[in-house]
Amino acid sequence: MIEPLHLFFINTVMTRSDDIWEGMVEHLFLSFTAIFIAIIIALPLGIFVSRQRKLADLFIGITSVFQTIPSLAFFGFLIPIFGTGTVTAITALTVYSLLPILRNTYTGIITVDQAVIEAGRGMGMTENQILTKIELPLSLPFIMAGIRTATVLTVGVATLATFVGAGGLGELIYRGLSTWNNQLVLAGAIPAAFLALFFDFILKRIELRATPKGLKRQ
Amino acid sequence: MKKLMIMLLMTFLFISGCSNGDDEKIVISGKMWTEQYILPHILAEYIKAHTDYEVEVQDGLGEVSILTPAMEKGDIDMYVEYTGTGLEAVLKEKAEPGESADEIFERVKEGYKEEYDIVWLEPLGFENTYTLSFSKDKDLKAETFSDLVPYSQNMTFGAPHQFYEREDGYDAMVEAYGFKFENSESFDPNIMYEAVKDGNVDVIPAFTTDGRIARYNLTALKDDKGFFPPYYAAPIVRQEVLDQFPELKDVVNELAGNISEEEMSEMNAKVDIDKQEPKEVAREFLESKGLIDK
Repeated sequence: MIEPLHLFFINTVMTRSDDIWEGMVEHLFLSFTAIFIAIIIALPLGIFVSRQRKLADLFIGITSVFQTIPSLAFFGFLIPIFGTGTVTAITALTVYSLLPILRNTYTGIITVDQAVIEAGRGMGMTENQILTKIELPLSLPFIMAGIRTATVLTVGVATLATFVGAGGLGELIYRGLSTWNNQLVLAGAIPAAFLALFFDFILKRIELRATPKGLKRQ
Repeated sequence: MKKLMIMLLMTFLFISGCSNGDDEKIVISGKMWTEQYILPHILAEYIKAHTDYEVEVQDGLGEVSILTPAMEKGDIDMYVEYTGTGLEAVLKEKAEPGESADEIFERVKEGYKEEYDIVWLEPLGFENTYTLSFSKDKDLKAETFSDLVPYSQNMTFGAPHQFYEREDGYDAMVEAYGFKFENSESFDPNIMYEAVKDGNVDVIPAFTTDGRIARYNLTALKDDKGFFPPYYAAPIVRQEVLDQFPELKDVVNELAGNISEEEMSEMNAKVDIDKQEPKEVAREFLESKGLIDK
């Protein structure tokens, strides 16, 4: 059953361009919403546990436990609560994005050189200023690395959203798998991989833009 | 460095040694839904009871796109396939209008023999095809597919992925009957019955052998235009395996015609709803039919 792959593949992409486009839009929506919510939760939480270090192990532990639940099983668990569709998928994806962002935020902040913080305090900075002008800028590479890891992970896991009726590029992949149409599988898998790389690239640009001049390599 | 290389080499040898160990037994596999978890055990228990062969069940391996290459490579030896899936997904052929289940069976039998050297044994008895199901609470006056057409514009249709890709799937069905569903969703075949029961979608193409149709109080509409050809389920085996285990073919063929639709859906219900183990359900069934000794 070996076919001239490239020809069939181009043909599949042409005839399915609507499906691919729709899948990409849904995929983007699912992954973006999930990462956005995850940042809103994990970033403040990371700052909080860097202040209350006794709680750090607890919170990071909880997010780690979630990470170990096989994703398909987790989607399944949520169905009785949220039914099929987007809400279930976004909830699961959000939970999967928490750990990298939380852990990197925490690690980034606690590894900021104490001497710099002391200097800031000596200059009369308030706690808020120390956070926004010293700790966050200096830990930005860590935080962004966490967000980038979470993004790539989420775009990958979002291919499973289709099992609970939330669509996305996984739709094409799974349709292809269940009818043994490898071209269709690729028509879903290649755009998904491309999306992951593309966002990683964009986030890298944002990270470079946002990094304080003093931290950039000369 | 040298030590590391030797270690690596040893590991490879060990791993490759392991995978060659299966030649002495028959590996039976299946797909990832209820019926397909039960059927491998029915075959395995029956073969164990009537031959001296060693049998291993590796159930829930995956879809046809995983099982067929696994058969070709010899990783698995046998599983139960449906004539419709074999015809369309594997042989990439279409069922002709009015073609009978037997004619389709003959076609896949020849096609598999030629292309894969895989043998279709005798069908197990039940026919499995699609019916349209909605919750009886909906109180719609519909007995047949055609009766449902006027209601369809306010309904969301939900189905497993492959239903949208099959030649005898969504597009063709909608065209044949003139359905105008408002929306269509796709999800895993295992959750579609819950989805329609809980009202996440309004109609699903249920498998006629699924026990949840009766237990969840769903309808099974009549396909009044005969759109879905009835498909048989039959064990398929690699020719090589039949050569290696000469009694296998006759023994498995003794099961032919022994599982009716009612029996299959009752077994499915026992697993899905009563949460019994597939293996236990398979044994109980064989014992109750007197096919194996207690």
